[in-house]
Amino acid sequence: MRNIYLNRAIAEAVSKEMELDDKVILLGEDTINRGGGMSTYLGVPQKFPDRCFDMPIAEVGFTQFALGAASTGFRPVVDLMFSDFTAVCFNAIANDAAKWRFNSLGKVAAPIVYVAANGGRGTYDGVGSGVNHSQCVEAWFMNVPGLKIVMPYYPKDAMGLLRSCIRDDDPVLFLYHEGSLGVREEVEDEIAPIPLTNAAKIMREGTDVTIVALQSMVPVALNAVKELEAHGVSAELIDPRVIIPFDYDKVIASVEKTGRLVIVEEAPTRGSFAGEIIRVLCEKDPAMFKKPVKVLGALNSPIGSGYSEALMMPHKEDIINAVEELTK
Amino acid sequence: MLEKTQAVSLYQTMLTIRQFELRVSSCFAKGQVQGFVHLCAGQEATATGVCANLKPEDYISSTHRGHGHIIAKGADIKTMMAELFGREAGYCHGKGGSMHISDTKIGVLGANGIVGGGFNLAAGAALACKMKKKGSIVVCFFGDGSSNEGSWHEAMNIASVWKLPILFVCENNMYGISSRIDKAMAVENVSDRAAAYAMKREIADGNDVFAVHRTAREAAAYVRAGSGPMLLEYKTYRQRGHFEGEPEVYRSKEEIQEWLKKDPIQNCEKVLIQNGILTEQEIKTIKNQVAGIIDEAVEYAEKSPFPPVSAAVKDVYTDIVEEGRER
Repeated sequence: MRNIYLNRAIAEAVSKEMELDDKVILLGEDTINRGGGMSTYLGVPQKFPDRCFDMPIAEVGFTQFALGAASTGFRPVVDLMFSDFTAVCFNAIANDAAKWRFNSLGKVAAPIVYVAANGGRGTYDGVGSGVNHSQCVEAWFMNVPGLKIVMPYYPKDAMGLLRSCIRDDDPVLFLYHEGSLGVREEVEDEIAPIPLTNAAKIMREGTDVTIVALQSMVPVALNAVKELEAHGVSAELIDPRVIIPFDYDKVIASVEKTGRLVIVEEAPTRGSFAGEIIRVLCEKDPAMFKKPVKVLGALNSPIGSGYSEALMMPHKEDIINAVEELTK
Repeated sequence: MLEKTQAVSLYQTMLTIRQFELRVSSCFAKGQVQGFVHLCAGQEATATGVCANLKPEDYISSTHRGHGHIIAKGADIKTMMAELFGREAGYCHGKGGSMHISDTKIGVLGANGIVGGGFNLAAGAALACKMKKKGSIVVCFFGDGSSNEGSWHEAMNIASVWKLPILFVCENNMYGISSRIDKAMAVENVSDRAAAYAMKREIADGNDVFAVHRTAREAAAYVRAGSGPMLLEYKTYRQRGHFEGEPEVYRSKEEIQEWLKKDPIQNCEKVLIQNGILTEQEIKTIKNQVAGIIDEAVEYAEKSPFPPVSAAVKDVYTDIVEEGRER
């Protein structure tokens, strides 16, 4: 066993998959010169100098460039630094890569993983990077059929899921959390790929309420669950880890048990991940809900910089209040 | 002058593209072909002359005005027509339409519905060619208008810095939709911009298939030798509007007439007759043969069924089947 940070988990996943498959290549800004903008590829270019590429600062170009390489036999891992920058190259991801299988009757795959740091830097302890470096972008892409979206928080999950993403024949948006770069976790020496299907993880079992918390909201909700337990409320906490394909079975089983659902996310709630989960559950059987559903997310405002980030974010207290309202 | 077989083959390909386009136009007018259709009638010489210098394992990236490129690279006419008719026998079961025909078996990386979408795709494929070291190259077809897209700059830059085996082929038809080139760029030629990337370039008459063939042959050899990318600019003209059904109010009748006199197919016929390669009678025979091929393609398309409801969610993911709809 050893303790690793998230950036090490990403580097190991990429390195391991490059070792196993010589078609895997790494493209991004600063990958060689400094192991990636967030140091997520330290040591990788030294190990695979012929398959790592420092790209000019030209996201429109190198994202589409990756699709060209993917169409002709390679499996690119594309580092986009901050998920906000996907807006610069949205076309290559949403208009092309996501449609590649569809447009070729399944003959041409686009096995590309777009790796980017998503969300705020400090969740709510006040080191946000503002409107162009701290957004949660998953909902921008949820409406694009053909893309998979993976959103781990912890290093071990990141490593196992990223390995599966690299092996996947579909384009995958791998959004690790910007704030989790400082998260350390004890892990085994070797971490196996974690399948993208049925990926939700029950972090805490409970009987009174189901809390689905996404990415940075998992540790926040975990703290809330502990406090709720002290107040005699038993909450079940689920970390989806992957949002497309979403593991509905675990969430539905949990809500059928508890009858109450709180979804916590970091993105603004309008048109968000939470709304989609609720749509599917309501279509299945609204009778599973004993109480109205609660959604906690960022306010429908651009995300603030520095300390002001905390103004928009859901906090532990908000989760506790929501749960108490449902369970009183 | 080229030897007879090669010269005749260029002529046949151009004729196939022209007749395909004109038939698509009439089928579109009848409502048999739906969606946006951008025809390349008048520009046949560029696709034909360039692709004649490519090997099956070479790649091309195309544009929204892509039928000519794809035919010249060897696509199946029947399957293409069926796709435009929206039928199951089409390249994409009729779901892709005119702007999204791809076939990597013959090196077609895909047409693209986004202007400027093909540049970096082609550059990425060129990196793959370089890494595989099998001597393949990539041709990136584009129009003058798309060279104003930022993505062009990014692709030209990386191709030049990394000496990628890619041939950028500009079909300068002088109009980006309705905007004349001089309203959209301050340089006279698109390829004047090659200097910014230290890239070799050449300008030629895009309505002379033999000039296109010769310049592209030299350029392809240069690129194939690993000397780096190159930019070819062919001056040409689209004889139809930006898309079928467009109210064409931005070009004068005189201008169109002037360019019709420079029609690449008539040009080619003149040269073939003057050089004693084909007789007028032989030209007539070839025209009838090509018309037969197009008739067959239309017949094939009309006979193919429309895709079933279940096709809607097919090929979206490798291993996820989205919920379909029963009707």
